[in-house]
Amino acid sequence: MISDQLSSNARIILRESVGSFAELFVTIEEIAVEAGAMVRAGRTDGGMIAPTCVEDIGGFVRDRLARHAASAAGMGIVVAPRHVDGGVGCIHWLWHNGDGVPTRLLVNLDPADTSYFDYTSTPWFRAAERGESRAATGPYIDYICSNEFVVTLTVPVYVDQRFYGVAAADVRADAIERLLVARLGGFSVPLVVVNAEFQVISSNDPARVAGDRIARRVLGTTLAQDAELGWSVRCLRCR
Amino acid sequence: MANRPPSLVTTATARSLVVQLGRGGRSTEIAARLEDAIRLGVIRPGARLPSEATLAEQLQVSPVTLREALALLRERDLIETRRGRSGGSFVRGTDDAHADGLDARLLSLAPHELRDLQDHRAAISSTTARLAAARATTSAVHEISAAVHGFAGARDVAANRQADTRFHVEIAAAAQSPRLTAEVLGLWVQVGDLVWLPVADSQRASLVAERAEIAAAISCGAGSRAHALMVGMIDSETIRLLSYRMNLVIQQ
Repeated sequence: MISDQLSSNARIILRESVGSFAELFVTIEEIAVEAGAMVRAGRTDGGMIAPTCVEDIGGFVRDRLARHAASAAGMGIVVAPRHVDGGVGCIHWLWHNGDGVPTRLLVNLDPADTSYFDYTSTPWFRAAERGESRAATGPYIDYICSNEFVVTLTVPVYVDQRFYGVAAADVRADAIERLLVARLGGFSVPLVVVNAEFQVISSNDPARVAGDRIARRVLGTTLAQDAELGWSVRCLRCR
Repeated sequence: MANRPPSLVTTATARSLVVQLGRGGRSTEIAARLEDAIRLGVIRPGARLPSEATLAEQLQVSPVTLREALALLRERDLIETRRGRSGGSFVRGTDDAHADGLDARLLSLAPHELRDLQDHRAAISSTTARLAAARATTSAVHEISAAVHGFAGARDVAANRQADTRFHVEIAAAAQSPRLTAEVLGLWVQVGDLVWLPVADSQRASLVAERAEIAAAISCGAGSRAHALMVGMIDSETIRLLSYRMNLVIQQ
C-alpha cells in the first residue's frame, strides 16, 4: 500500500530535480530569442529571410555559459540545414574541456566526408523539431563533444513561427544523479527516477545505475510524473 | 568536388589523437601522429586544418610546438600552406594517391603488429556489443540500425569507413561507456582506411549481413550472441587483411 506521504515526497523530489533545470531552460530560451532576432535583422528589403549561420550568436552564448559554468557542461545553437547557405548546417557550441576554458566544438558537417556529424538525426534535435517547447534527452554518451555522460536540454528556435533551429545546454548526468540520490537515500523502499524511455536518472538501489534501462515488468508504481520532460519517480516493489 | 566545404580536425578526432600522445607531446611525436592520420585517411586529402591556435588548443600543446610539427609535415609534402583570404594549411594529395599510400602503410606493419591491432579492436568492440545488448535504449538501437543501413548504401572506401566507424561508435555509446567509446575512436584513428583495402564488391553483401546480425542481437538483448558475432566479424577482417598484405609482398 502506497502511503500518501510517499507519493507527496516523490512529487517534491521530482519537482526539485526538474526545477533545478529551470534557470538553464530560461537561459537557452533567451539564446533562442536572441538568435531569432539576429536572423530577422538580416532580412532583405523584400522581407525574405536570408540563409544564415547566425555567426554573431557566439559572444552571447559565451556570456551565458560563463554565468552557468557550475551547472552547464556546454551550451549553444544549431541551425536546421535548410536555412543555411549550401544546406550543410551549422553549429555554435561552446563547452568546458576540463581546464575551465570554454572551447568551440569542431565537427564535420560535410555529408561526403568520413567523420560527418548529422545532428538532424539526433533525438534532441528531433524533440525540438517536433515542437516540444522544453525537452530533456538522455542520459547518453556525448562522443561528438565532451565524451561525458550528459542530459541535453533543448528549446526550439523559431523565426516568424517557423522552426529554424535548436538552442541547447548539456548537464552532466553525474551532477543530476548526485542531487537526487541524496533525496532518494532517505526512503526505505526502492525508488528510481526514470526518463520517458525508462532509463535510470537516479536511484537509491546500488544495482540500478544512471543510464540502466528498467524492464517494464519491474517498473512498479508511478508515484509522481513530470508531463513536460516525461520523467517519473517509480517505486519498484510497491503495489 | 571543388565546392566541397573544407573539413576539419574534429573535436572527437583531436581527442583520439591526444589519447595516443598524452598531454604536451613533442613536435616530432605530434607530426608523426598527424602524418598517420593523413596517411590513413582520418584527415582527408584537401581538408583544411583549423587555425594554428585552434589546433594547438585541440591537441593540448603550445603554439610553438605545433608550428614546429606543421613545419615537419610541410617538409614531407603532406600539407601546404596558402596565403590570403581563403588561405590556411591544407592536406595535400588526391584520393587516388591516398589509396596507393595505404598499401605502403599496410606493408610497413608487420603481420603480428597488424594482428595485435585487430585483437585489440576485437576485445574492445565485443565487450561494447555485449554491454549494448543489456543497456541500449530504443533510440540507441535505432542509431545502430541506421549505421548498418548506411553501410549497405556505401559506394566507396570513404563511405564504407564513415558508416562502419559509426556502427562501432554507436555500439560503444549504447554501452554507455565513455572509456570504451574513447578507445573505439582511438583505435579508429590507428586503423583508418586499412581495413577497407581488401574488400571486393562481391563481398559487400556478406559484410552487411554480418553487421545486421550483430545489430539484431543487440536489439533483442542477446549479449553473448552479440559478443561472439563481433569477435567473429573482426577475426575474419584480420584474415582478409593478412591475405591482402601477403599478396602485396609476393607481387613485389
